[in-house]
Amino acid sequence: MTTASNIHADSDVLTRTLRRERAARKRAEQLLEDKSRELYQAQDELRKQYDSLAETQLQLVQSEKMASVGQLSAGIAHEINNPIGFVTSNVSTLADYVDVLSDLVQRYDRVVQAVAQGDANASSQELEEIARIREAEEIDYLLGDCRKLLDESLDGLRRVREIVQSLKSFVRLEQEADQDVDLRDGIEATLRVVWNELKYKCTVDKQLHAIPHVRCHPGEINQVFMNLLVNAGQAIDKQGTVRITTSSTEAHVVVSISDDGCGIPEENLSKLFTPFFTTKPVGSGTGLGLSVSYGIVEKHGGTIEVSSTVGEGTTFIVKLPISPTMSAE
Amino acid sequence: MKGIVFTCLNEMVEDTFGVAAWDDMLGQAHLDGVYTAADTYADAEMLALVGAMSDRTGTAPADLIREFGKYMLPKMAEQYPVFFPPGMVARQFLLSVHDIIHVEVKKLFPDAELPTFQYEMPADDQLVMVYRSRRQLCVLAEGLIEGAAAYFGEQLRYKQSQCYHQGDDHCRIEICFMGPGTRGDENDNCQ
Repeated sequence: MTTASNIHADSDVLTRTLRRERAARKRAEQLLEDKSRELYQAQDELRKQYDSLAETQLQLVQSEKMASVGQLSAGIAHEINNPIGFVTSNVSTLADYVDVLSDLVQRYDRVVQAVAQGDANASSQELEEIARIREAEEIDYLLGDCRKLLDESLDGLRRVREIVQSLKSFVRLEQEADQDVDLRDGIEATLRVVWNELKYKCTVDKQLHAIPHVRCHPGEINQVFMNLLVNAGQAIDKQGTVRITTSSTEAHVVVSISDDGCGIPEENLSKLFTPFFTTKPVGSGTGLGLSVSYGIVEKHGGTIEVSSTVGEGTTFIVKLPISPTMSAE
Repeated sequence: MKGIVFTCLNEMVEDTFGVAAWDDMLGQAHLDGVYTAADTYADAEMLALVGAMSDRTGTAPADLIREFGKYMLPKMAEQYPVFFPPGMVARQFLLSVHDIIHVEVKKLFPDAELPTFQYEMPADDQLVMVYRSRRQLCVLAEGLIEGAAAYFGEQLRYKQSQCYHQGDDHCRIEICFMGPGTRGDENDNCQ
């Protein structure tokens, strides 16, 4: 039989149970809130670390590039010095030529004056002297040589200008927007920068077929070409060929850079794109070139692949997506 | 000990003996009984609750804890179905406790102090679980093993050849699986 005291006891139990449940719920809510806050803070921290990592990576790419350019600087200086040398020599010769020609012009002036004054004797003497000088100084040859020296000097200066422009495309900071570019221009510019590394022992076989434009950061992509070309050159011990080929598929532009050098042992192939992995002697490589190149190509939505046979050579294939504006056409 | 063990015990007591019984037990153990699954509580609270429950039912604490393990397993399956994929059998489940379930528990509750299990597989139908825990609650593991058998509809036998409570430094639970629908006394290779 249910009594009033039983009902009262049941009610007490239920009240206590309810209070416990409520307290437990509040505690659970508190825990949830704490967890949410922790999660937010952890995410915030992660975001900061990610940003800092991205910044570090940017600096790393820049440092690697500057290190590469630094290592190439002696060769680049040589490439610039060579034309500067012959341009200087040409200008010096031209200065001597100008002296001779200037003397002749003065003598012709005097002939004109003598003729005007009716002094036939003076004019005839001066003309004889002019003829003697023309003979002695080989004026006809000199005039022809002037043109040759000027053309050669202009060519030399153009070479210097191209090298400097190519260098500028490497060393400018990576803040500018992506552009639609013909990768063949980048390959040519890069070849100018690394030419001194290749020219003594490599025949460079360029098969640069017409390719669609690629939307990219030209400075960064040139950095990839530079790494691959320098590596190709270093793989060749005495004499060899570096072959650069461009082609395209439906969606990608394909640049292949191969050498017939020493090749890469199988056990090193998998480590090739690992940061700080290098087989070069200390001071010759940062060990970052290929890992940075990998990062650059990946950032551009492309791929970089390598195949190699020891003793036969190595081929790197870079694939980059065709610019959306090109594929829309 | 994680709060989920307490909330599960709370459910078991209320389901079996009613709301008033749990309320009584809390009063007897002098506990406020505010338990939340994600929080952590002193082991002593669990011991006090089991003590109170033993006093109330006249059942030995070890038997109560084993029963609790049996009760807890299907509750876990209900709450964490990801650990009980279709087609799983009891042996697979028990093998997943240390390397999968406890790893996931640690992700949710980094402060959880979990027992460790090492496994030996002497035969396809046998499994040895070597249990180590400061809490020495091997009977809870036994209850969970029995609960797993019931949940997966299997028959199994087990025995402890070594145990903390016999002076050993770990517990060795030797399990023999007898498949679904077979009786314990048939095809019993578990000697």
